[in-house]
Amino acid sequence: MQNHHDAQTLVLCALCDGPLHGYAINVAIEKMTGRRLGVGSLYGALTRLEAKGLIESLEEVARTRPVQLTSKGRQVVEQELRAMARVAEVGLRGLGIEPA
Amino acid sequence: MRITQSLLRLYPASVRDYWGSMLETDAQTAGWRSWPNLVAAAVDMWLHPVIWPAASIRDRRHRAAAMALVVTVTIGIIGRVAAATDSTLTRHQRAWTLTDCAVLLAFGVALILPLPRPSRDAVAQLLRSAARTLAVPLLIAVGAAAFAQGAGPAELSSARPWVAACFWLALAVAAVQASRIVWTTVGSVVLTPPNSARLHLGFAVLIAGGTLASWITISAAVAGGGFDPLSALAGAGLLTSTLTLVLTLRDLRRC
Repeated sequence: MQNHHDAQTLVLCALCDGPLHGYAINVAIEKMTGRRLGVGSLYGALTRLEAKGLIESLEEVARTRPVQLTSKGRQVVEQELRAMARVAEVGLRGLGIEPA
Repeated sequence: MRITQSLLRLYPASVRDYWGSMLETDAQTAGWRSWPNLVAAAVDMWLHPVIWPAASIRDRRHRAAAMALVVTVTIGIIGRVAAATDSTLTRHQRAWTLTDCAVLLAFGVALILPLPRPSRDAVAQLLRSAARTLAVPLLIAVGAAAFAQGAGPAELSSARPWVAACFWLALAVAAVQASRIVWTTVGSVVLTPPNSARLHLGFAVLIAGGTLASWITISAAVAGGGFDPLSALAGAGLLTSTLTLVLTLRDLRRC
């Protein structure tokens, strides 16, 4: 099973574009990383993120329950992505590659 | 597929109900490759009841209290069995296990225990539920104790292991049933969970008690230059149970 934190970060990133339901989140994650999360990992991450107040469910549509980022979730994912960008920048410079 | 549906039934009802057909459809679509991940995630969910979908923070606190009660019962039973069967425990360590740890655990339980709502109906419903589920194991425990008191020395010496096993098993069943009352719907309706400060303090005390019991049992397993696998196993069980309390406390702080 994927690390809880990694799975939650991927779900948050997938939701940056707007509300999605479970299957669509996994498709977005596949576009980003080349592979999908396991179904258990995906719903575990969604449950955790909702408990932390980082995502919220919308009204059920055609037996699916789309979720979207809350304002707290947007802040958290922004901080997370900025931190990752800083790490990537330092790493690339260390390798002698100029970050894009 | 029937196997996928069976695996989904391993999930806590509130998680299953909340994600509903979306979870089932995704699991069916993923096919057999999703089975190990579904099982691992179901186990993970049961270890983290605080994060299950809930209507309010009060529900999350109630689940945390119920989880703490179940884990404390487990620690109590493992600790009691370890103390009774471990010949490598010194008298001093045994006394510690039975008194200091038990006192800490009892104090922790008193702190986390949900109290009945202040209404006659709630108390009556709780008493009915307790009478229904606790009467049989408590009667068996009292019967075993009465037999041990009343039997002659010859009669008692042959029956002692069975009477002791019966007594402790009945008490263990009673403790598990008491935890179930807190955990189930009846508990969530008629009981009020402790407030945040009391719950956090209760968890801290229980973690201290569990850690102390683990340390005593593990140190006894390697005492005197030898290695007692049964004590080591009991110590590992106590440590794992205590870790579950730590995880629940962490979840409580994050939600």
